[in-house]
This record gives sequence, C-alpha cells and structure tokens, in this order.
Amino acid sequence: MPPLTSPTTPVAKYIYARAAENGKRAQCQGGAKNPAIVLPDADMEMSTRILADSAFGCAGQRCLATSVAITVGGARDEFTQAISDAAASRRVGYGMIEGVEMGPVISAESRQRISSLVDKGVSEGARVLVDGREKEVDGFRDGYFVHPTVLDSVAPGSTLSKTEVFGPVLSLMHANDLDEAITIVNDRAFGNQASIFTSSGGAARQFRHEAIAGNIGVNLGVAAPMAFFPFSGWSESFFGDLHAQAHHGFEFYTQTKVVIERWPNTWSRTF
Amino acid sequence: MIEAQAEVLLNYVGGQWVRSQSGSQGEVRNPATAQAIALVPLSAADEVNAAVAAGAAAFKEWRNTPVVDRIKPLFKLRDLLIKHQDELGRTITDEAGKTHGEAVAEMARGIENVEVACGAPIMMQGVNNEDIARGIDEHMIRQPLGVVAAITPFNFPGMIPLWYLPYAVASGNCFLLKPSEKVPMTTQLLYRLLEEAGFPPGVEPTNETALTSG
Repeated sequence: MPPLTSPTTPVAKYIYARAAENGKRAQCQGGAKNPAIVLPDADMEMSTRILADSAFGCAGQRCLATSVAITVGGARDEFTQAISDAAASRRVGYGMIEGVEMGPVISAESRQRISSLVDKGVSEGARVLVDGREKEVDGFRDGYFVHPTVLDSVAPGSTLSKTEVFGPVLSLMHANDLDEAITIVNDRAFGNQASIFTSSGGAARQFRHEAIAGNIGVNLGVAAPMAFFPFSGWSESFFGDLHAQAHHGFEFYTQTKVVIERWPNTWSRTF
Repeated sequence: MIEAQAEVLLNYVGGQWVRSQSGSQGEVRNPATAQAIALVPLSAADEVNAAVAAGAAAFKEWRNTPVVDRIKPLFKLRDLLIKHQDELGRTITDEAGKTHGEAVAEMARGIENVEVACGAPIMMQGVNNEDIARGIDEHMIRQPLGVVAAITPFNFPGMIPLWYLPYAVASGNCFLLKPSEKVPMTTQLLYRLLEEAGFPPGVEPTNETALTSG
C-alpha cells in the first residue's frame, strides 16, 4: 500500500536543504492543494466548465489542478449539481482517441493511492457524489484509469482536505460568506494556486489581496503564468526565492559581479 | 510483459548518444495500456559525474560565446519544436497518459519559454553608474554559474524541462537534465531536436538516471 501523502514536498525540501548545505542555489517545486471559491454571483455554467477542466484535465495531475471547491451561500446547490454532472459525463480513455477528454493517471501505484485517499475521505465523513473508481474503459482494461470523482462535505482539517491527490478528485466544501471561505483557503500548508469565481470586482479584489498563494486565478481554473512571468508558488509548494521562467530564470542562472574602477588621470587623483 | 521492440533509451553526454553501463534499467509504461514501451537506463553516480564533467569541459568556450550567438540555436530549436509538436505530443500521450490536445498545448507553453529566452541579449544586461565618486565608475555585470542541472517530474515531460533549459544555456551555462524515469522518451526526442539545433557538445548533456544514484 503506497503512503497517502505525496512525496513531492519532502523531496523538494530535501534537495533544497542539500543544495544549501553545499552552497548551491536551487529552486524546488513542492506539492499543492489548490482551492477555488465559487460565489453565488458567479456565472455558474462557465465556472463549472472551467473548474471541471481544472480538476479533471490532465487527470488532475497538474500542480495547478483545483482539488477543493468552496461554495459560498446559495452557490452550493447549483454548483454541486453542475459539477457532478460534468464529472459523470467526462469522456475518459486513451488520449490519442478523438473526443477523449481525460486520460489515465501515471501508474497503478498512483491509482491505488488515489483510491485510498477517497476511502480516507469517506471515513472522515465526506460523501461520494460521483465515484470514478473501479470503472473500466472499453478496449483499455489494463490501463491506470480513474474517472472523475466528486466528494461533498469534506471537513476542514481532514486528511482529504489537506493532502495532494494528484488525480481527478474534487472535494467540495461550503462557507457562509467570503471571509469564511478565504479562511479555509488560507488554512493549508501549500500555496501554489488559489482561484475565485465571481462577477464582483470587490470580492475578487479582497481575494487577490488576502489569499495565501503565489498564482491567483480570477474566473480562471489553471492560473499558469505565461513564459514571460515567473511561476510563483508559495509556502510548502516552493523552496527557493527566484522562480522558474522569464527574468527570474535569467537572474537564477547568473551571478552578479560588481566592478569599481578608477583610471590614472587628473580627475581620479583628486581625493 | 515487455514488447520485443521496446526501445532502449540512451544518455546524451558531451554531444554523444551513449548506452548506460550501470546494468540497471526500468520500464516505461503507457499508462493507458500498461504495456512497456521503452526501457530507461537507471544510470550510476559515475555516469552522472561524467555528464557533469562534459558540461564543465564545454563551459569555458560556451560562456565566451557572445550571447547573440548563444541564442541562435534556440531560434532553430523553436522552429524544430513547432515542426515536431504533434510528434512530441504523441510521445507525451503515450508515456504520460494525457490527451493529445493537452500534450500539444503543453508543448506550446514550453515553446513560449524558448521564445522568451531568445531575449537573452537584453535580459543579460547589467547596470552601471558613472562617477560614484569623482572619476570612479561602478558596473554590475551578469555572468553564468557553470554547470547547472534540473530534475523534472512526470506530469509535464515537454514543458517543464523548457522552464529551465533555454534560460540556462542562453545565459551561458551548461545544462544537465534528469527527467522522470516514467517519461524519458519525450526527453530523448527533445534532445534529438537540441542536437539538430546545433548546440556545441556538452552544453546540453542529459542523463536518465535514478534518484537514488546521487
């Protein structure tokens, strides 16, 4: 049985420590647990499509995959129904086949770990709305497939709410207002990405200002910085100071040298 | 079960494709079929050291190559990546499992990093102040580090190496890549294109090796 926790952050920390010990600079990407807040004033159809792609795209194996959706107030019922429908209808299979929307996870071990984490969630009180485990794909019975899975009533502080799944599993949580939702967002070790879905500029502004994460999405589910911006993970999601891409890349891969020079002429001899 | 035609992957060190002598190898499996589609060498520590040495040997000439010339192979690489984007995408789908559309989109994000790194002549500029004291000038210049390395994960086999490699070589370093042992076929294809793009030997050595060897 593989361990429930992902080794990504411990490995990143270990390499970063070894680099520091040897006087080398390093930038190490860790794990993630990316939350998204859905407010009642969000465009629900668009938000569902975007979040389904974030949670289930690349079979959830993105470091910027949304794995927790926090609905606020009246958004709960409509979003829960819509995302469950999107999960259940996503076409899973071999990625070279036309029309397939999601491929397998990387290994049998990974599939086993994902399944165990869902079990753990249930044992901690979550309810499975869509169970994507134990479902076969025609013609690919040996493949490492997990279909989209959605769990409701995932408790803050529970193992599933804190652990990176790295599979197509979305946990739903609920908050009474934006402040409570932001508290849930910020009560976690990772800081790779956080998103908000809303039509309110004020809510988006408050979220952008307060969320503890280095990549923020506003009505976006995968806030991956373009090549000309640094990929800005925070907290347990990144060890280092300069990030990957763009000017951070150039600064990381160069060292500065300062040259101060004086040449023998009349001016330089005036002390 | 290993298919008879499963390719044995090679390391690329100092401009040469070399077979690992470690005697240890792993299977690369297509996660959609569970079939082994290639064998990846789990290289030994001395082979990693040889790759670092190849990079160190190439460093002096590469850092003395003007930045405008260092980016010329990157321009060529960018065109080659676009030309082979579909093939790279298919390789990513077969070893990492994501859909072909996702794989091709991943390559687009990688290619954008090559394009940004082609701006190295401006990004490498320093700053200076004339007359910090009477008749005295101060300059800050940027110099490369030497041999640098990246250890990359399985989930973006094409994009994540390109978060690092283009910037590292454009700024005058020699680069060592240890891809995930689950997705080394994309790396091999990428390095075929790097070879074609015309980097001098040793600037971009790769080594497909096990984490435990370090």
